[in-house]
Formats: sequence, C-alpha cells, structure tokens
Amino acid sequence: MRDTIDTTPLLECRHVSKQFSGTIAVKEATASFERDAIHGLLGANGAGKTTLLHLLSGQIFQTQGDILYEGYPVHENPQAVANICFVKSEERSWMDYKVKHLMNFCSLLYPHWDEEFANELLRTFRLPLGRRYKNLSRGMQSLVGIVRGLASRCQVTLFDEPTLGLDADMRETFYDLLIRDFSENPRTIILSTHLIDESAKLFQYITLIEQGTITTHLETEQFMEQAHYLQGNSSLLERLSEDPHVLHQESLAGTTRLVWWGDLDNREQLIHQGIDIQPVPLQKLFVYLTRKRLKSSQSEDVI
Amino acid sequence: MGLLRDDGRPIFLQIAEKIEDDIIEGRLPEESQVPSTNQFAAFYQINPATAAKGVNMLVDQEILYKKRGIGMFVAEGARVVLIEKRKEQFYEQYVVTMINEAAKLGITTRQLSEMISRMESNES
Repeated sequence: MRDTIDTTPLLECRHVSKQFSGTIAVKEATASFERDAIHGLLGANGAGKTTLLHLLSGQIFQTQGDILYEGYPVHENPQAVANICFVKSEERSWMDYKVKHLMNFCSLLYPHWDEEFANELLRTFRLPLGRRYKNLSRGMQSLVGIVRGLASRCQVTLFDEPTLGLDADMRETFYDLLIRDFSENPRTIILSTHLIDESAKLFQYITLIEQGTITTHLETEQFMEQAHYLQGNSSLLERLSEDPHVLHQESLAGTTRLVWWGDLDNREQLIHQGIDIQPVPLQKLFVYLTRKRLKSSQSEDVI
Repeated sequence: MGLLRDDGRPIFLQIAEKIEDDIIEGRLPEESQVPSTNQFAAFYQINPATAAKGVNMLVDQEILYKKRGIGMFVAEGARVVLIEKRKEQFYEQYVVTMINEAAKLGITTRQLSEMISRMESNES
C-alpha cells in the first residue's frame, strides 16, 4: 500500500464529444477515473461504451474536449501508448496471426509484460498457440484478449466486453484471476460489460453512460444507495407516481411498488406508514434507469 | 462463512456481519488472525477495496485491530461487545417484527408467550 495518495487523476476526460459522419456517439463526456481501482462501465447497447474506450485509449481522436493521461493529452503520447492497454472485444488486425506471435508482439509492446504469468494463463485457458486468431472460437478470441489485458500489467487496462462468448465456467475463472491479479498488482481497470449481475461485485466504481453522455460516476455503494424499492399500500404510493424520482411503478391488488432514484429524505415517515423499503440489485436498477431515459427521450422527440 | 446475498445490500456490510458471526460463534477466537483483505476478496469474488471497507469498519469499532506488517486480529473482549450489539438489534429485527405480525393476525401477547413456552418445552 502506498503511504501518500497521488491525487492527480490518472485518466480523465473533460467534455469529450465524438461525431462519426453526422452521428454523435459520445457527447460532452466528463469523468475522472480513480487510480488503482476497478471501474465498471455500464450502458445500454449503442450508448457509446466502445467509442468512449477507444477515445480513452487514444486510438481515435475526439471531435471536442480533452482526454488526459497523467495530465497530458492521451493521443499520440508515447507514455500513454505504453501504459494503456485496450482490450477490444475483437481485434481485426490480429486475424492472420497465430496466438504465439500475438504473445510475442505483446511482450515487445508492453514494458511490464509478465511472460511467466502469460504462459500460466495460456495453459489455464488451454489456448492453442499455433492457431491463427481468425480460426479461434469467439470465446477463445476473448480469452486471448484477457491474457493480453492481465499479463500486460499496464497502469491502465481497458476491457471492452471481455467475457463475450465465454461460458459460465470461463467467466468465473476470469473474475477469479482478475481479483487475484488486481490484489497483487493494483492498477486502474475499466471494464465494460452487459453481464451486470455477475460482475457488479468486482467494481469499486460505476460509470453509467447513456446516449453518449456519462450520467453517473460513483462508488458502487453510493450508486446503489441512490435506489430503493418502496412497496406498500397503493393509496399512499400512487401519490408519488408523478415524481421525477420514480423510475418505475407497478401495482397489484392494492399494493404498489415504486423504484425511487435519489435521496430518500422521508425514510422514517415512510416506514412509519408501513412502506417497505428495500435495496435494488444493480442489474435491475440498470434496466429501470435505461428504460426511464429512453421513455423521456422519446417524449422529447414528440415535442 | 456463508454466501453473500445479491439483494442490493452493501457488500462491505455483509462482509463485516460474516466476520461478526464468526467471532460470536467462536470460529474466530479472540486474538486469532482474521483472513486478509485479499483472501476475503478472492473467496467472495469481490473487489478488494470492498472487502477492506468491511474489515476497516470493524477496526473502527475496535472489534479487530491491526498488527503492523502482520495483519488483522480479533480484539480481546470483542465477542462480548458484539453480543451486546446484536442483542440490541435483536429487539428491532425480531421482536418488533414478530409483534407487528402477531398484531396483524390478532395474536395476543399472552398467546405469544404461550407459543414461546411451547417451543422451549419442545426443545428440552
């Protein structure tokens, strides 16, 4: 453990936008990613997760805004290139290379590459060293990416859907390895996933991206504390249904259940009125948040 | 140590409660060493920072103490302190809930105490 805490953000984006021929993929995204932490990047399909990761890695250039690694622009910055490892869900440029050649390439590219660990991972995942990347199954391609991401031991590692195509067994193996390796070699990891249920407990921070904008960046527990199920007598709860804090509402036989997003100032009063207050699991919360935003953007379109 | 529940309750609280249970039930005797943060993280497949938060909560409450360079240990007297704390929670968590449910069903306090006596005689 370090004695002094370095407060310069390792990686941050400030008001970053990216436009692809008319389509805005990322809009005014601002976040500072805490050092030596595992971050979960969550967002619906097409929300801009992959574009944001490309931008953070310096592999594409933003239309607007700043992306800074240790305070310096990330794009065409040799320090950033050597210390940021971006594991895409599929590597188009790797197609014709054999696994063993890709590993050699990684060992040249990354200054902290741990060859012994890479070999251990290759054995664990039973990856065929002599096979070309394009001839690997979807899951095996993901595993090659995982080997690269873990063994590179980069200060910043970005994983885009690292578990795509992996069966439950291999996903568990990946989570175990990630926790073990992160414990031994703390570094900044940003991981995008749509398997929220099973990966939520890996994340210290959660970054939520919606329609290209980072809408929430909080410690996982604070994020979860923002949401509550309120369940009880409909006559009491239906009065709240127009409140903007309500993400979701359903009723059955005189009982109403709300999902409340935000501070709950009148908790004691609600409990006193017999309202049951429960936490909302992350996966559910993500669904409610996504639906709510979709609905409000559709109604904006109508206006 | 049981399983963690995926019910949205903060994981660090669940970790702290599991350590508390282990101390109360004697699996972690006083002055014994507590698993490291990384061991908790690996066992429960959780972020090490979350595990550390649960452990540190118990350090703040002087249930655990830190030996520099060695690890975390159960403090002397921790068990009694925890049992007292749990007794207070017992009233809120079980007694109040039970009495509210009993009232809903029209069970009187006398009937309740009869049920408890019946349970006790069945046990012996």
